[in-house]
Amino acid sequence: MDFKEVTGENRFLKALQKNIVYVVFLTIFIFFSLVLRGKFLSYSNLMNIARQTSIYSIMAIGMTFALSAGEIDLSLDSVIALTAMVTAVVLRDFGIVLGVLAGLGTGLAVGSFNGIIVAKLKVPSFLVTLTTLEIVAALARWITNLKTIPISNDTYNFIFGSGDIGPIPILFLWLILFLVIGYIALKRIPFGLKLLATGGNERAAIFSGIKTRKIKMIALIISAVGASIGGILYAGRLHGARYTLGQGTVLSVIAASVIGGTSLFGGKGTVIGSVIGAVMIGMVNNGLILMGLSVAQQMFFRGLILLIAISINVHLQTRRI
Amino acid sequence: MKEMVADGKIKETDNIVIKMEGINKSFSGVKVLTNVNFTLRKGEIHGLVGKNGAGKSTLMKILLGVETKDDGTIELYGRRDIQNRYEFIAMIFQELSLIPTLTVAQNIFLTNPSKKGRVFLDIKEDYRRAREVLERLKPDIKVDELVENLSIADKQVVEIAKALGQEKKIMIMDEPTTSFTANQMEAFFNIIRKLKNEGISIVYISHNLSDIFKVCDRVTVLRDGKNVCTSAIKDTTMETVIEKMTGSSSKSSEVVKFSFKDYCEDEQPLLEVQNLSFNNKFKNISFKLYPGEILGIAGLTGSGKTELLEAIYGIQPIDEGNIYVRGERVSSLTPQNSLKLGISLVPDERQVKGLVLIHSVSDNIVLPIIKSMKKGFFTSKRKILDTVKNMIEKLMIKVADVNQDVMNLSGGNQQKVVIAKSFSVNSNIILMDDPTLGIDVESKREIADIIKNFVKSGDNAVILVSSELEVLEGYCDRVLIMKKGEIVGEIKNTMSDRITEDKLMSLIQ
Repeated sequence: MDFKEVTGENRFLKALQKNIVYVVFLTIFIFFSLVLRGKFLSYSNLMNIARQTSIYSIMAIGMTFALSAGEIDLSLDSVIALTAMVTAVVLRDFGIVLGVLAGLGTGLAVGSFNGIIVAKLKVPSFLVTLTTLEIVAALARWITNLKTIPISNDTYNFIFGSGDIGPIPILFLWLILFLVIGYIALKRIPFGLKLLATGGNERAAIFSGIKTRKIKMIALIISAVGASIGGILYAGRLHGARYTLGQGTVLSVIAASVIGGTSLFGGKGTVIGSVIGAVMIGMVNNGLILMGLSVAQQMFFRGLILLIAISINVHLQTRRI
Repeated sequence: MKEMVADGKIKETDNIVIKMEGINKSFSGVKVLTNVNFTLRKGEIHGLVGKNGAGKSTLMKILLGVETKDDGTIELYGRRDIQNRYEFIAMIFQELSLIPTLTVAQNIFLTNPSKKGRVFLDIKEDYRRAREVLERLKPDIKVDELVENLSIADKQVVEIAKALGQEKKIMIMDEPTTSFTANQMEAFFNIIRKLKNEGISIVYISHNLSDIFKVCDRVTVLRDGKNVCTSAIKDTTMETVIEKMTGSSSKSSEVVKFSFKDYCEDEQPLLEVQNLSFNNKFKNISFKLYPGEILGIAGLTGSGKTELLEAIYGIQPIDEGNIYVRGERVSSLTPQNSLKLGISLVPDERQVKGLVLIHSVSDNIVLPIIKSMKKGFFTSKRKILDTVKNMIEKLMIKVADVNQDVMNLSGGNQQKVVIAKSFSVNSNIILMDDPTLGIDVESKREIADIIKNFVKSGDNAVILVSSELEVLEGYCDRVLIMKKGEIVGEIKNTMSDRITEDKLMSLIQ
């Protein structure tokens, strides 16, 4: 027999497996809409969520590439901080263009460093990026001696942070741009399939003539550049940079990707899912604040909700239907 | 469990330790076992044979109690009320249940380690007990060695020691010798004969009938989930058993014969290998592959045939030697370059080296050629679908739809997907490593047809490595014999002489 019989229950589970992120998303959305009648569903609040979650979403898109290739990037937090610092300093002295390029260069440099060690020396990315997390965090403290650098360039702050075009936050437009780029890279060009195959079964990919080390390196560069874009946007949104920027981000970003349907074990990834996962987390943050919970309570419930969402998702993913 | 035997609750009637009668089993309406009977005597080695899908593993799972039966009775030591029969019966797979990073002794007593008092492990006592058990089997295995450092044959012995360490008197061995060398095989057979003399009962499952005839006392043949016969080995012959397994009296009807072709030596070879050597895996390998040819390579496991194929493809490094394609020397040996030159590989272990199991049929097939699936900057779904549909049709791959995960296909269809990858890159030279291993007869025949059609045009050629000698007999007009990393001979079909399984078998020993 070639195929398992597809029973009604199977079909339902399959559909659920495929669309679980939407189900969880809607459940939370409806929950907050009912509990926080008026407050949650207002236009200004929804735009607020869009503003708050855009940066996370962009970084989750980057992370999707690392995870899909079977790798992980834990250095995210410090890349955000260092990028923001570098951008702020260069911007102050040499203007916007060089500032932004220096910021992107920071991500490129850290990502290449991670990638080379992972690809050439075959050290697990978990260890490599956990170590660069510390090294890069040190650099972020070092370059300004722990000082905060304010950004007074209004053009920069408008384009890369707090601006609105008509009714739409500019951050949201950045998100759309990177979502399109990410989607194309993962699903519509040969690179995406090579990346997923590398994460899905590296040996089979090598036998199929794919240079898997190069692919892994690029994946880690993409995730680091994603983090540096995050750093650039944070600096613009907060009108300045500080070495503490980005702390605690990596958990939410990985959670967003996983909730969205990207596999922690590689081979499966979706940038749209990651964005929805990120928006979902943003929605939870927002909802918990509006409910009037204390900071400690917010942390507690956010952690709990993330754990439940991730568990449901991973369970359904690994279950063979 | 010892105690149960000791206080007489379990008795051995007529020396029969297992009696299965009238076993029936269906999976979602499909009958896989029909009225199967099976008995195992004390101190006997009982061969269980049948083609893939004949129901052997289902029957054994039911025996162990890990799969339910629809109907029938099972007596273990004369008792019907024992549900957890796996506590009395050891299942011995190749390497499967050992933990490589633990020592031999730790593995043997993993579930029942010795203790000092109630809490602390008594490691010395475990070493002593392990030594005692291994003394009976293979005294040169060190009890404090890590299992990962053992040879495959020694690992298998440790598996058996583990069963003995748990005081199990019944063992099921499933293809226990697949990757053994001839010497290891002999040593292993001596061990299990010894076990038998000690009163251990063994169910021996294998596709290798010569093993069965060498070591078993009785053999039971299953076909399509039914018993065909149980007979003492001394009362039957291999031909009879093969006949009962296939259900047909003419064996050659399963095999596709090729018309004899005489290769003229001055013809330009498609591929030429000169003095290829690597480490101690293979040395001084030279041969020519001519257009239109299916060149076989026969050899035991460990003869270096897989390494050789992977070296030609560019995955395995080489120390020295040259490869020429259509007379031109290959400058860089990498898979990328090989694919460019029209050489592709159908690797062994299809699930490990050949497929991304969690991806779809379509994604797997186009993986090696994804670069050419573009329309402008983007990949073209149309092009991909056309290519994939073409391959599915050409290779008769049975799929519900092209986006089905490869994981859910049968072995034969998975293998066809791997072959499709080679076809999709439009290679002239396909290197195949045991492409028919572990797949059903129907798919085997279809794959034979595919290979035959591929070389028929006269522009293409195949190098076929196979551990199934009957496949080489059926497919090839010329077979190279490999032994310990060297080519030691070549046999050909000529007007007067034909390649046969028997000849190959004796040459590779």
